[in-house]
Amino acid sequence: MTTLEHIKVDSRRYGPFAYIATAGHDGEPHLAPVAVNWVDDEIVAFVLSAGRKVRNVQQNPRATVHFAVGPDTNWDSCIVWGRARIESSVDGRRALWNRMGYDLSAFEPGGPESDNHVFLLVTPLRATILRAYGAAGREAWKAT
Amino acid sequence: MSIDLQDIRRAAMALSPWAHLATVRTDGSPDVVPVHPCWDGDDIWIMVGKDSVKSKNVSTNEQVAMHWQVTESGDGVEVWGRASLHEDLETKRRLWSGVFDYDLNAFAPGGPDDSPDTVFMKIVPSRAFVMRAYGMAGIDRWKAS
Repeated sequence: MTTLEHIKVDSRRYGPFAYIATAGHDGEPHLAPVAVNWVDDEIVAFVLSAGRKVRNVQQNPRATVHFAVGPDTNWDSCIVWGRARIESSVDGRRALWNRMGYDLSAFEPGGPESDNHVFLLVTPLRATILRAYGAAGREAWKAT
Repeated sequence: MSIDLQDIRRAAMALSPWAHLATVRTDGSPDVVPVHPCWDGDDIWIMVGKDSVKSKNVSTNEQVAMHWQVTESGDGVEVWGRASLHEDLETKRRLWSGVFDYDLNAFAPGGPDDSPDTVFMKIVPSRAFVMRAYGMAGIDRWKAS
């Protein structure tokens, strides 16, 4: 079994974009491409407060992050399953504002005080790296 | 702006041959996998492993979502629909040649007649959208009537 640190390092190979899957209480999945960053041991995305993924996480905290696949990374997949939460307090938004690796002001001119955006954080519970769709091996991690 | 399913299909095909497919486990956890879907009229087909996680998930929850790979400028297509699994020989033979835009034999050398571990997932779209620049430049939506 690999380590979360290895998962974090590997996930950066795929670029800053990932697909976050959530599901509401009706069981319907939702997929959204988002820019993500690791903040300590959590995957964080800056998202619209009124978006479907925020509503889903408030109903069902289970979420999965699949980093973008492509030929540049030999069709490897890095998948993280975890427990999601929404950080909507002003203090929480201020704490995360400068930790995303890009200028959030371009998307939210109102700054961390604006209620139009919140942070979606995923605490990893388990993760898998599939090499070439799994044909060239797989590495797994699970929280203890 | 309202669009029809053919607009969705054209936009998806123009984006990428690959999409991410989300299914949901019985405990409510979503799963995501990259897939190579193909359109057949208004339906979407995916070649899948009979015992794969996505196959198991749709056997208990038919609701799925697909998001085609977004471009660098943030253009994308998402489709929601209902999925079903098909393993009858007639369907497999029909799909094996002429529907998919890649050689299925590369993944199941036994062909349709000798690939018991390979089945097909059919997705009937129920709603979809085309977004431009992550939605900042507009979103066009479609919903089945």
